[in-house]
Amino acid sequence: MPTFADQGSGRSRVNARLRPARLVASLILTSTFTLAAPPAWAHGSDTVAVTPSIWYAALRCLILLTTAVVAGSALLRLVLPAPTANGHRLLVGAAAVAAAGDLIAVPTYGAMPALATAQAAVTLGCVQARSSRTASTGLGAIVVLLVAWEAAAGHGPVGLLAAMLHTAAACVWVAAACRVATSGRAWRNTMRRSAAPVVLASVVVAVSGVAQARLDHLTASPIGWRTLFGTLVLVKAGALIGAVGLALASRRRIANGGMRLEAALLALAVVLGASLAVVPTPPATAETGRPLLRVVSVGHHALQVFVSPQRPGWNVVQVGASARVGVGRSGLTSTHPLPGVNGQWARVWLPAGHSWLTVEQGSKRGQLQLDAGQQPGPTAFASADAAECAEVSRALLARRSDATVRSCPTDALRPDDLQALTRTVEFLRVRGVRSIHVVSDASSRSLAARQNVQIIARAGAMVVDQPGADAELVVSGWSGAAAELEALRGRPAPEFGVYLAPWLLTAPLISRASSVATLTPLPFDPQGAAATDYVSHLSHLSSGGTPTPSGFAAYQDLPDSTADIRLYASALVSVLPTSLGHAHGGAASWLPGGAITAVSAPLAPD
Amino acid sequence: MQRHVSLRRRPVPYLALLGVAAGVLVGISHSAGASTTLVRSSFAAKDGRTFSVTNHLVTNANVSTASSAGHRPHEWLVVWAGDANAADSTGASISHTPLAVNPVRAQAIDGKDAPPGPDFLAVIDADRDSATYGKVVNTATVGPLVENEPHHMQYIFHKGDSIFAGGLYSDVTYVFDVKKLPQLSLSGVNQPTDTPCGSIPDAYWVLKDHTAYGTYMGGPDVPGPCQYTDGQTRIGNGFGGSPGSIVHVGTDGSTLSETPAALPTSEDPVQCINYPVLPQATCANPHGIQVREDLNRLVASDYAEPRNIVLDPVKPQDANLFRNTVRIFDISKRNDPRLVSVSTMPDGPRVERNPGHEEPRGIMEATVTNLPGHKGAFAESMCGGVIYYTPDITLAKPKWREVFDDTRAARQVDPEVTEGGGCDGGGWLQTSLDDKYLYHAVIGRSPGSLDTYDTGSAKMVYTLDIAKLLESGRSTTCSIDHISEVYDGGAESDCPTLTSVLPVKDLTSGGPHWGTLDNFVRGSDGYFHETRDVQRIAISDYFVARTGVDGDHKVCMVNVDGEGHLTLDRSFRDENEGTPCVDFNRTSWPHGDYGNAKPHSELFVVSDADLR
Repeated sequence: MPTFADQGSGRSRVNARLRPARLVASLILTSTFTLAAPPAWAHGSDTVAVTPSIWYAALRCLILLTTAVVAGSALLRLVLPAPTANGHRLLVGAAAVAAAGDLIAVPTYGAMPALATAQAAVTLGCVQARSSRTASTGLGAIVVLLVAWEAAAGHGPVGLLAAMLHTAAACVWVAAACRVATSGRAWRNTMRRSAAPVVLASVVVAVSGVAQARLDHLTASPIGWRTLFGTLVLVKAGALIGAVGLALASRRRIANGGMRLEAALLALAVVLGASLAVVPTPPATAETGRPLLRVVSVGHHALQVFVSPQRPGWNVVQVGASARVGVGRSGLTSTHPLPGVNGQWARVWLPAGHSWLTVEQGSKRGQLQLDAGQQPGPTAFASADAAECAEVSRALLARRSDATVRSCPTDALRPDDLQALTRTVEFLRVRGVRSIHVVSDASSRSLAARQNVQIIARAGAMVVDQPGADAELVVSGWSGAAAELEALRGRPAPEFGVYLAPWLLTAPLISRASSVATLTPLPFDPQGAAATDYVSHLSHLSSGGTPTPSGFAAYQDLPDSTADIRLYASALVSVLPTSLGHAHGGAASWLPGGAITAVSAPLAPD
Repeated sequence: MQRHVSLRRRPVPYLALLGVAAGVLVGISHSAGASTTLVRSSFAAKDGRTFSVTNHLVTNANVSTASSAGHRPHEWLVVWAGDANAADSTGASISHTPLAVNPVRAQAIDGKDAPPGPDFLAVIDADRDSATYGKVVNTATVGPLVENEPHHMQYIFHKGDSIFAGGLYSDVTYVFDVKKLPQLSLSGVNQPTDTPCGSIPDAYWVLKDHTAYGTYMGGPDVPGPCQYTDGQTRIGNGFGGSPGSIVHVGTDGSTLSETPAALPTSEDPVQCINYPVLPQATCANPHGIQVREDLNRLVASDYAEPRNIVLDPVKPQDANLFRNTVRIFDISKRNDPRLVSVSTMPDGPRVERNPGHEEPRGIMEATVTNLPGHKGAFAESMCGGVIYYTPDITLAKPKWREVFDDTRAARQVDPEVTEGGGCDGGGWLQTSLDDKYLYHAVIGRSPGSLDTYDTGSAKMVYTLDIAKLLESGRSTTCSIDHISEVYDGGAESDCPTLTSVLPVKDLTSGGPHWGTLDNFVRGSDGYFHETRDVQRIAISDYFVARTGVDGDHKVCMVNVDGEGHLTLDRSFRDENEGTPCVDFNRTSWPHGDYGNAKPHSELFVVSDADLR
């Protein structure tokens, strides 16, 4: 690396002062640069799945590298003389490639014509203005800023600043290497004069890189090494270490050829850094024993993966598309839809501590490191309705709460749910209902609900579980309700309707009952401000979440309220045939394409 | 850049103005130095829930309220619009938002990632001579309910009327006082519990006593027997199901009567399927509604059982869910309408591969004639794409005949049109007040809707000359009964003739669905007067986003000349874009940065004080 190569008898006083710390400083900077491997523009995300094309990646690398060489060289005219003939040829070539790349990006990748043309023109101007120190430096600064701004698009103010500094410093660094490598016999003088800016650039790259790494929540965890991203980082680190090693090993005998090799290694590192921008960032480290929501790269696809509760024992895994998942050598399980909830799910047994979750689609595989800790999760995750509990944990993530799920909704009947059921039975009695069919299952919540409903109904002279009952009340879990609503399609619906327990108000369940028109007693308005806030945060967190009453309760974390329990009618209200419009998928609302409307006054307490 | 103050952002000191009258609370607030003035009124519903409307009056709009000194009489276009939000876009569309190659991206164009904002009535300056013609001078937001899915108001406004506006999904009818336009106040709210035997309110017709009839397309709120205000009982299959009802709403929002739209006996169980099946089959899902008070007749057209079954992944779509019937009520006793006829619209000459595209499917709208000598009415089918006519709605068994196929109008835009009427989304249907013309808005069918070979059908508003048809009275012979008449128009001499077609350029899934007549003209005295000589109409381009049919969210003004020709009024321009039509896709409103809005219906309104 030119910054620390202090060779030959003509060493400067500056370099002499650096010499004792040379090795340590080189290692620190190299490792820092490696840790901050993703350049400023290479931000990943837990929730956005985009894999740009290889052609886009190649063009981007080419533009960034060539523009960095030209712009950095122009900027270095502040301290360096005009480039040699070799150096000039290099810059002319780089500028031509950069300008052509800018213009090609307009029709191929939708770059703004005005901006791309301006950037191409100024880049070419940098070379043309080489004889004028002022003009060259000024144009170089403009292009460096343009490249830095372009590379840093889309970040917050702090991220934007760090990204721009990172890119600008990298431009100076790589340009200095190129200038030294093409200086011929004057390479020592070039190196000496560029030492100060290069040291400064190195420090800026390191500091801004660390800042970016922190903003991206990246660590030196081995997670990345199993991914393409990690491989690129490793190769990049190798290139940097090679450059440093070359400089240190040949410090007294270094020749210009060695400098060229060093410059090439540094350029390789920059290219790899640029390519990291278009490679999915590896998922952030799992938090021990907490539900995990990450994006995993599988082939060209980036799949959202949700693991809950991420504790030892049975867990549920939701994948953004149909896939096969598994841990360790236990084999892979196919995902499938679960009742009451959106998406593709699978049940997976997790060992205590660290493990790797494999996600397979076709012949492609991706991996996600898990950290289940030692504390087992709620036993309800072994049941068919585990997804309801998983949605509670997702609601906590949406709330950014540190709370963990200690029990599941199916474990007990909440007081407000009991009140809702009680008042519903009374409402039916007043409506003239004389018999009621109760659908339940073996969960603690359902059993408690059935027991209470039976007591209240019989107290109101209503017959419970009579065939052909006037009305039906479903108090089972999601899977039982889904089966019942499915069965209702094949038989006459009760004249007085089908009533669902509060915890069953989920879009996938309501959709199954679209031709039945279900009613649900609720202590909250699913289209009220609080509920819409929950739905909005849930949709921002991930595209696969399902708004659920128990999730909403966890999201709110408020004491039970029974003051205003009303009956809500749920119906998909699609008043057009599909041939007129276009199919529409799941929207970010409690009931996409439908209405949940309060149709009663507050139900009276018993 | 305009400054504005919203209740949400800045806690402003409220001058609670006092008045508690008939359960109505009124509060007024002014923000010194701000460019938006807030005026809020509340209405306490019977169940204790408080509803409100908050005016966000743009103070630099250079307009004055009807009651202020030095006021110049003014005409307004009031638009009932819903907030567009995350629920109107799919989760997939949000997560698949492409990354930009360059840093310059559109900034918060539509706020689709925002939580729901308030629905509102937009008051637009409709005075051609005004410097602020086309400017939104007030947005009156309603609360606390969001996502009402604002739908229809009444068809036309007369002196002394209130505005009746319905929320399709909230099952609520709002009543607005417009005496102080551009300021509005809330004078009544009709909640779901006020209409237990009907749901999904659709359209309204205001009577001379300023009360209104409304169609409730869906069934009773709760499945089972429901007793109406006249003592009759029908068994319904619940919210959004069947049968619907006709509701007479008072100016305070109260239910004066709720009448069954269904016969006491079963209708054709094959034509009138219901899910779940009802003991008495019914097609009673009234959508469009118009009234001839002089004839004591109310005409309501049945559209569809609105609860979604067409997307049911298991059950195949049944075309008969889209109704083919028109109901006529005797309204001699205004609070006791009596159903006197249920007419089935006849099939036409087209042979469609999709039974849902046959002519009588989905009778969305009906319109009555207006002059005393005329007793006829028209109806149109949204999926069938045709227009029907009966010369006398007072008959016990009115005879309806098909008199026009939308294909004839679509041909004007695309001579190679295929399946021009097949589920083309016909909507607003309105006779001119002098009974010379018939206006019709057609959403059109987007290319590719049926399959890759489908080039679509025109999005348009067209005019028919109906003078000869009405002249022929009950002896009319017009009938679209031969396949050649689909493309060429009716062969009989009294058939309606196509006068004008205004194509609407819209690349969205929707198109023009609604319109309204401007029945006001400024007199030499400076005041406005009602007129039968309609010289312009307003149209809106939005249906219901969550059905998959959206629109470009524009409200346009259309000039109508003496021959019924339609031309876009290019002077009615968006204040932000500077281009014709008011675009409801915008970042900021007087009530805040809530992004895009969905304008479903509109109404020309003049305050009583400005109307002679």
